[in-house]
Amino acid sequence: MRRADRIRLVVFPTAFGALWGLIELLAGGWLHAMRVPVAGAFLGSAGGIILCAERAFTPVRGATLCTGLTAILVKLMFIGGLQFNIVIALALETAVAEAVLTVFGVSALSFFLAPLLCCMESSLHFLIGNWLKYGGDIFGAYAIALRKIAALFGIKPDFWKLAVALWAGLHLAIGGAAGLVSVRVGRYLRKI
Amino acid sequence: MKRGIAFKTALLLFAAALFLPGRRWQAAADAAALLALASRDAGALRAGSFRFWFFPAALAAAVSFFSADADASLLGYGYSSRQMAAGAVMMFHAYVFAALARFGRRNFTMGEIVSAADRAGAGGAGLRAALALASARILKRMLAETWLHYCVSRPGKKERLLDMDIFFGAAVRNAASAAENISVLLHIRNVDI
Repeated sequence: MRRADRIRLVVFPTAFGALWGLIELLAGGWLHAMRVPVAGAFLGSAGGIILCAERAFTPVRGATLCTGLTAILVKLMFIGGLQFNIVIALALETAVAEAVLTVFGVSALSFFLAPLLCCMESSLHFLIGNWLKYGGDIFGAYAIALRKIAALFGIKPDFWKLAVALWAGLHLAIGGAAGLVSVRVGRYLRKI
Repeated sequence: MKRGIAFKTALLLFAAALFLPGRRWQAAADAAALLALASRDAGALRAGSFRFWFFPAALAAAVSFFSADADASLLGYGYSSRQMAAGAVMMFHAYVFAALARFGRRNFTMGEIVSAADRAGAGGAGLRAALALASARILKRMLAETWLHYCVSRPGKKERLLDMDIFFGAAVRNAASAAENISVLLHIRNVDI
């Protein structure tokens, strides 16, 4: 590999990682301060769009992982400490985007799918975050609590299915819109 | 015990607690993790706030007192001792998690983490961190300017949402331009990566 290519392989993921880290800091700070619901979905989608755009410039396996690692580094450096929740969220989104872009390459399909799946990452984050923090017993406790709440208010015990469907629908809508934005950005860059 | 070794040991024990069968073993592994942290920085044990404890405590109590298999009582209210034990282990695990995070925040700076990653051979982490900081400084100004111009030219919220691809396109183009400039600079300066 030529030296110029090696330099690009380091610099592009780093610059785009810095961009993602900044968007997480600025937009994330604003969304959380305004208590916008499903703020994580918006941030995950934005991350997916940036990861796709970066991969268009350096279409090499692993480039997305480097971008994500840089974003984690930037966010932690600006916050000034170790925050497990941030590391888990950004690492999961990065892993999802890397998998999609490796399987489908730089294409309209991967540009649509990556932000969509990054947006859905919050469900995986919820499961992994709760498992890490409280251990496996937490899910049994949730199930009991849901059954009791349903019995208390006289609603069907499977009401949680409706809640999950609503949650998934909302995330699919946000992720789908982000996917379309990502495809348009790819076309704007003349990369897909 | 050095703080790095104490942290790694505690992290390993905490991870082991997630996979060990039986609550006693899980609690024992968590207790050992706590001891490892306390051996280096006892201040890290003052972890967790009211907000942090409220949710797991309320959930553990509710699940124990509303469980169908109540086999003990407290102040006349029946509760499940099995669920109570599960709740206690769950909260202890959450406490160790919070103590680990506090230990990390109190004892390691980002600079130390980056240099440790560099020493461990994580592909030029030091150079990447320096580059990331330099790029972040350039991009922060660009991003703020782009957003301001975007908002001024699109006063309505609907317009801003519909044209989001234009904003992202501009932000990505700026990042690519900054990356291109840095690449040229490193190439001219003969920096080997």
